[in-house]
Amino acid sequence: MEVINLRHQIVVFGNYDDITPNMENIKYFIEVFSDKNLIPSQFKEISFNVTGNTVKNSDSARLSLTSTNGMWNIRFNVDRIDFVLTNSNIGKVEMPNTESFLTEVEDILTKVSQKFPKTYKRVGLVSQYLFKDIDTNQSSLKANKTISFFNEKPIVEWFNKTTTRMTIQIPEAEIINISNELRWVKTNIRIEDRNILFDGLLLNIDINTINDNQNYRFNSNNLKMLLKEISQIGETLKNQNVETLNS
Amino acid sequence: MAMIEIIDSVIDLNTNPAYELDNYDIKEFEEIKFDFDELFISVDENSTNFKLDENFVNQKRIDYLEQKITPLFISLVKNEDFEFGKKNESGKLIEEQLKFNSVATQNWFNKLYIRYFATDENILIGLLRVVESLNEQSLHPTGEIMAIAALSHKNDEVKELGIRIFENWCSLNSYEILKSIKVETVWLQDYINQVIKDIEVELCLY
Repeated sequence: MEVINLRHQIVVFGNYDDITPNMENIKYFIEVFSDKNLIPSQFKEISFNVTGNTVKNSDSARLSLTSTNGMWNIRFNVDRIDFVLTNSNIGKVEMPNTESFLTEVEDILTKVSQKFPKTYKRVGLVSQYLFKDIDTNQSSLKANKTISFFNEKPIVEWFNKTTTRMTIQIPEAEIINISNELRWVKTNIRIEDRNILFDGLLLNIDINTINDNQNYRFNSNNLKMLLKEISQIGETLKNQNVETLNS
Repeated sequence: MAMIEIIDSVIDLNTNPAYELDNYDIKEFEEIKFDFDELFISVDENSTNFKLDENFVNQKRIDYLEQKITPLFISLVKNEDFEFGKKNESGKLIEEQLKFNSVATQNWFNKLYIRYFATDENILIGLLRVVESLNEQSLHPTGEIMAIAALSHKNDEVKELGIRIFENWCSLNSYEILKSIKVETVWLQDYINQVIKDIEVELCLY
């Protein structure tokens, strides 16, 4: 079984209304990210809010930064920044591990904060891995307690998701959601410059602070501690999945 | 067709981990096309990539209406004096909510109607008076269905209100609906026939 590091995503929720694709901001980001080859562009964000007495249903132009090799994509939405690193050409591009990804995100966020100092209300880390050269029935048997009917037939699809909550100290107590999702997928991916139909297992690990707490309570130090803590949990989950599927 | 054969072979041979489709446009195959972004999206509020879908938005609005608007609305319906041709507060409240989300508000209003149809005739009459006071289009099609359902109620006042709603709207649509209604109760059928004649005169349909 081969494990492919497919995608990392960090989301920091806050108020980024002011990070719009105007000339001043674009100029700033081109300068500070010249070493990373991040190209500014804009996208439309459609947002709507149905709580309270009013409904806000609007679209607005937002700023996005994309690397020339397509691996990095940073999207400045109104209430969240998405840092996404994708293994865009498996085997041809060097995919950093989670630790290096975190270091890069922290560096980018520091540069963003120099012009737009912020505090944050919620953080999420999503990591995706592909498991190649693995049998559908065997993997299903290892990850699920499948009833005998399916064990006697070729399984074409299976899905398994488990979520829990725990408290971590960063240094204040913070409740986090942790979900582990395994899904058999058939999808096209780019491997060594060729489009390959991948037929295998996708692992999606999502760790985030709970949505209920909307206080702007994280500064950059809390954020670093939080990302370190949740990435370690993510690594444990990944290792345990590999162990289970390899057993 | 060659492309179909490839799909078939992929489906038949899914024990192999990967297939090369280098020379084909994979985007054309909706059956096997898969976007990783879709896996990033979740309707679970605990997920980082939680995203609202349309049903979720409507349900949120219905939850809001049930929790925040229902107590106020029912209180108004119970205590208000409905005067023909005059705007009432409960009607204004419904109109306001219809502007926010017509689908969810109609759904919520319909649920209230069903709830009180068998349990509280006074509130039911109040709800029908609200329908009567509203523009035909604003509650379409829920308003028509409520008025038709009222004709089957055991209470004569409820029945009468069902007809009065169509009489008040005085539209071609109301005319068509009334013309296709047949009821056993003589006085009610007489009333329907009279309203049909009135609409014919009003809209010059004879």
